[in-house]
Amino acid sequence: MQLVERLKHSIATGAIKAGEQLPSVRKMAEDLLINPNTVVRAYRDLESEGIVELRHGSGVFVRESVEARADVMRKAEPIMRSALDRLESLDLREDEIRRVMENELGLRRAAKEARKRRA
Amino acid sequence: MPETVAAVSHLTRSFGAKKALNEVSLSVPKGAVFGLVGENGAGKSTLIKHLLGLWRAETGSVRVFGLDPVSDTVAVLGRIGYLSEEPDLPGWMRVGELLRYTQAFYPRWDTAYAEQLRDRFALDPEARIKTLSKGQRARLGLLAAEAHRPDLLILDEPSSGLDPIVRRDILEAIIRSVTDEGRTVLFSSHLLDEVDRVSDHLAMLHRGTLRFCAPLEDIKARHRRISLHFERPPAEPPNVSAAIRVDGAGREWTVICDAGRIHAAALAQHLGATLVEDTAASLDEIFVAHAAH
Amino acid sequence: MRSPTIALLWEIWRRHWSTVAVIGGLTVVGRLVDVLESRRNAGAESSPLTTLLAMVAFLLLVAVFNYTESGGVRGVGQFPRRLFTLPVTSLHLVAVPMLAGITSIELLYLLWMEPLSRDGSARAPFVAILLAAFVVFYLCALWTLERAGSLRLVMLGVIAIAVFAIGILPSFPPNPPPWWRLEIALAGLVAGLAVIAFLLAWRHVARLRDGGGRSAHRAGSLFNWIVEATPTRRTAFANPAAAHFWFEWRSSGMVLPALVGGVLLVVVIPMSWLMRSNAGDTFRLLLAALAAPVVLAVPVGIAFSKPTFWSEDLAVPAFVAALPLSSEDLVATKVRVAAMSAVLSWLVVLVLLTVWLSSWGNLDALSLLALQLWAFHGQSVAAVYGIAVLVAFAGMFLTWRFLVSRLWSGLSGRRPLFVASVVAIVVLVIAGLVFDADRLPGWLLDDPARLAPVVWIAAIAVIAKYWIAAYAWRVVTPRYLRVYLLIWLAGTASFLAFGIVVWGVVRIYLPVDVDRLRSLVILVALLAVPLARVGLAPASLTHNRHRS
Repeated sequence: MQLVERLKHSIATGAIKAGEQLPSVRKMAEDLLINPNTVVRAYRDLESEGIVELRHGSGVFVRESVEARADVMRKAEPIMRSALDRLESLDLREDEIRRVMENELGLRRAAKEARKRRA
Repeated sequence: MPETVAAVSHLTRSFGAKKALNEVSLSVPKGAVFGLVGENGAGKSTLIKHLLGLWRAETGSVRVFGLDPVSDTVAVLGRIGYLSEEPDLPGWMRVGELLRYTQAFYPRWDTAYAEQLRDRFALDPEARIKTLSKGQRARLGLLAAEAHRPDLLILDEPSSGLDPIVRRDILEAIIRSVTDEGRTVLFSSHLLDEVDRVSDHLAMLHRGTLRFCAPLEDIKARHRRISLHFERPPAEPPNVSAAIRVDGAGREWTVICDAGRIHAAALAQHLGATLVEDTAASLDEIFVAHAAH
Repeated sequence: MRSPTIALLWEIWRRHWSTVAVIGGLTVVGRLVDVLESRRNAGAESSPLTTLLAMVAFLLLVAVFNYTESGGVRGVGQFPRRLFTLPVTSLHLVAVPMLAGITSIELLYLLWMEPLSRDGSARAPFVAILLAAFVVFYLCALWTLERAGSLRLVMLGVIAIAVFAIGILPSFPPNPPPWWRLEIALAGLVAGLAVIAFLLAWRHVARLRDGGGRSAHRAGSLFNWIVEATPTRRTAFANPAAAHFWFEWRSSGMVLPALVGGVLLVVVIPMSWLMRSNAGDTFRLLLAALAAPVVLAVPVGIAFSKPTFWSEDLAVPAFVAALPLSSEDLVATKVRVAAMSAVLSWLVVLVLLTVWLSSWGNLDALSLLALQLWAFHGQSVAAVYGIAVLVAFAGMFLTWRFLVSRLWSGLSGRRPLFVASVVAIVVLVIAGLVFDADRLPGWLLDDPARLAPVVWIAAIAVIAKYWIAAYAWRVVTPRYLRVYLLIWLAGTASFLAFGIVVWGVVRIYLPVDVDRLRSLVILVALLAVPLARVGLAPASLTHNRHRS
């Protein structure tokens, strides 16, 4: 969901560095004007995905291993840039590019799920 | 079992022939942000007024903090902060006077907190209430309701007709209340995006009947939107008995339904259509679907 | 609809057609009754019944021309704002209801002329002019005083009484009247005033329509300036009851003292200067000044009995209903505010009286009375002062009583009940005027035997009052009961004392059965302070607050 995506993006781009503490549930809820339970769930989701860890009594901290992710993200940028250049040379509009990408991602997702079910 | 702050059981209220509330039973758990949604005239304000003792229950019972708000008025009202839809604050009073006046009634009034809020809302203590704009009046009403840190904060359509900045202040107040230990918020609104953001429990009234009352997560998990594509446009809308709403035209049809009761793929096969999409329905769609009949 | 005028007239008719039908019915019935009566005793004055029916018909007509719509600042009717966006001039909007009102009232007068002018007290054209002027004054007051809230009614009452008084002024002794009391002169005066009133009303409506401009704000700003001058409350309140007392006092407490002060300054003091040569008139004026708070307490009490003083709405405002304050405390606050109001009004009266009497007051009649009292009570000066103090106390209690006695019906939220209790007063006053109430004591005292049934009725009333009171006070908490009982004791004691003193003075002048009269006085004193009604008020308010 939205909050999880935003946090992941912030962590991945390095806006929140590895080892840094995420804002408290209360502060996050008050700043974003969302229910504290939503924040709690987002933090838990991130924890289950291994991106953050809950340290009892201190708060929620970004895992060190996340650092690696930022590098990978940085490597992805030039690849994306060249792909987009080529698509634009085909005279595709932005929304069409987006549709093609969504389609591809959807097909890959469906294939992954099919493989999981068969396994 | 979480403690309930307010419980309504089989509550009915008629105005002449019209039933404003029809056998409504719900309970508000402690510490929740309880959203009450419904169309205009669905009965939200009436229900809230029953909780405050402003209406006496015709049938059924109303209990707030385990007490009857009609017979134990002072005990119940002393722990409630109330912001009404049209705050009918006396126009001749000054802001400062209203705060001093309200303070006398609530022993738990926090003067420092009230002062902080007053400053934050930019309310001039010498200004007379009748010179304040609608948004400022709403802020003042919110201040008066919040400053004594009530166990139950009740907001009746707090955002109606207010600009986004005041609405933000109201949402902030709601979040602030609930992050304070043990306090509960009940608010009615038809601004679904706000309800979606801040509530964790949701109840919907439609023409006096309760459509659903559950934690927001459960409601979102339960309702799904199924999009179907028919090769040959059906002569009449597809009959899906357990659906809440069926919508569409020509070849494309959408069904909003309760996920526990309908299996999407099986339904598509049964109707002879292709399943285009099976996703969680948005709160808007859920609301419209339930309000349609 | 062919023209705007017809549309506006049609609107008035359509809104009130049932009332018009009732007026028509009353007129028919009244004329019939009158014909029957005159058959029986030919040539006599028209019977009281006919006069009463006529009064009701005229009152209803005045109600039809209540050309206002609700939605005002104070929850009272105001000039219909929605007419402002129609393509008609303000003059048109003002003239149509006024002319329609004048025409209708003249028509009704024509229909009733025969029975009403039989006693030959006033000539038809004079009455016609008075009626037409009254309609103009009425509408003008209705539109220009909308900010005065429910006190506008008081003003309307004053206007009605003033016009009535002008109507009977020519017939006052001594005859023939001086030039200024001639019908023609008075008619001219009234017509002139009516023209001014019309112009005022027109200007006011025009201003309302276009928002006025800078000068409009300046005019309102004097009123605003007075209001702004009220000091801000800067200290905390000791407890909820004190806070709510401040709230109620600020809303409505100063109204009665202000009204009393206003009436005394504007009417009594100037008249006292004019009458300073005449001892008898001065004495009567003094009595009027003493009666002013009591009389004014009646209309103010009607407004006071509602949950909100200034609004015509009988529902408890959500702001107050959601306060953690019990209904008993709410009622107790109102009772206390009423007491403070009454005391303050009397202080105003006493201060002004002191100024008047010590400066230019003609004390002859008063000195005579004081001398008689002094002689009667064993030549003790203290007794005379004691009586004066008793008069003040009794007056305060009476004023307070009128402020508080309607609480039960006003707070109940039930409009029929409230209206009925108000109508009861109005009918009583009208009946008093119509049946010449000041002949009553004379009629009673002429034949002592007539006093007996009155005393019996009073005795039964007292028993009923206390029985109902015991019933009403069952459900009230002991603390409230104790406090009120003390107040009641004080009030009743002061009335009793006052009554006994009055009786003591009166009995030397009247050849009546003194025991009966004394019993009557005592019984009336026992009846004076409201008991059951105040006890029922919290239950009434609870019922209104938690509506079923």
